[in-house]
Amino acid sequence: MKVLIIIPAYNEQESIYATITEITEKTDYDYVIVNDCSTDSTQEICEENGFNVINLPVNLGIGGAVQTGYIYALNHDYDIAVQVDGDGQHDPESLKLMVKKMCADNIDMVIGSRFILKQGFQSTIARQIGIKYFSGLIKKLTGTRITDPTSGLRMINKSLIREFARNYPYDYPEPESTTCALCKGYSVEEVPVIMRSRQGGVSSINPRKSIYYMFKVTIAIIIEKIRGGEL
Amino acid sequence: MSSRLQVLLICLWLLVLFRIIIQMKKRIIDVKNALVWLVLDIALLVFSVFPSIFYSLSSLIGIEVPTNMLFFLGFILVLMIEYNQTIIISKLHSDQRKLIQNIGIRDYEVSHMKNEDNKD
Repeated sequence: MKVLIIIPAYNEQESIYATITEITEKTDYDYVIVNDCSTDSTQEICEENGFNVINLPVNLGIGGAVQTGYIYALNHDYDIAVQVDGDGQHDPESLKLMVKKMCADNIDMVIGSRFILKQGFQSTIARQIGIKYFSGLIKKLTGTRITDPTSGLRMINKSLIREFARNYPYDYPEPESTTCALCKGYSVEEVPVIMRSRQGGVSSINPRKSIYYMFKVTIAIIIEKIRGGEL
Repeated sequence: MSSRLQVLLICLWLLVLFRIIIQMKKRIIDVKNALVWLVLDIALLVFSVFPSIFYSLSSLIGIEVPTNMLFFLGFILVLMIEYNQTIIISKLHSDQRKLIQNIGIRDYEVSHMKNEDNKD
């Protein structure tokens, strides 16, 4: 099983070194950093340390950066691609559990959920309200309960890699892409993971954007449902 | 508002709404940019179903004739949408420039790498 870890990074100069060293120490999977046109010294740090990095000439946002990783995975014939955030929130130990789940039960998408065991960093109250809302919406539209629809820790197999390399949302991609996979008939399951709080840098979501986010993603999810199995 | 006009308007805005949704589904327009048109269409739909809301709104602002309010509001909204599109175009220009420069420099480096290979 060829596994690729995709690390989208935007201005993560404080945590990128630690994140990559932890990945290379704890796993022997391949990785690729997608540097989304950072304006800090993320690129320099990656190049100094010989990290495997794709530097985008224009900022695309998390959706575009992760999709770049999926295109890379497709081109290099990986069987499994997993997204790991560049801010140190995700523990690479969880990856082995996710790979096992995917291979043993033949699941197309495995999501690492913070809210199954409710251990570790549980995120802010405001975000939890948003997460519960999307969890309920997805359950209503697809019948599947996803406890952590905004989790960035997600693993997909080759068929979904092909799907997402072709079409992937621009912003706030997690709930939308999960709904897309479910509506197209792919199997999506979660495993419990423990996440840490951000190790450095600044989150890209603020309260004002959150209202736009909720509205926009709701519409996008409904459209995904309308799309159903069609391309 | 005559009930015939009302029915006509409701049908019109429903058809437009349907079209917007179909085009989002077919990826002809993306959700982010379609949002403002969706909101506008739904607002117009609400106003055609409940014209009294519209009448109250215009007297609140101080406009005597509701039709004038319609033109005024419509004009302002269209201007705002246009301005937003100018912002989007500006960003596209800026991104495009970066891409062009990037490709130009990359072609230069690739052709120089080729020349060095040929020299060996």
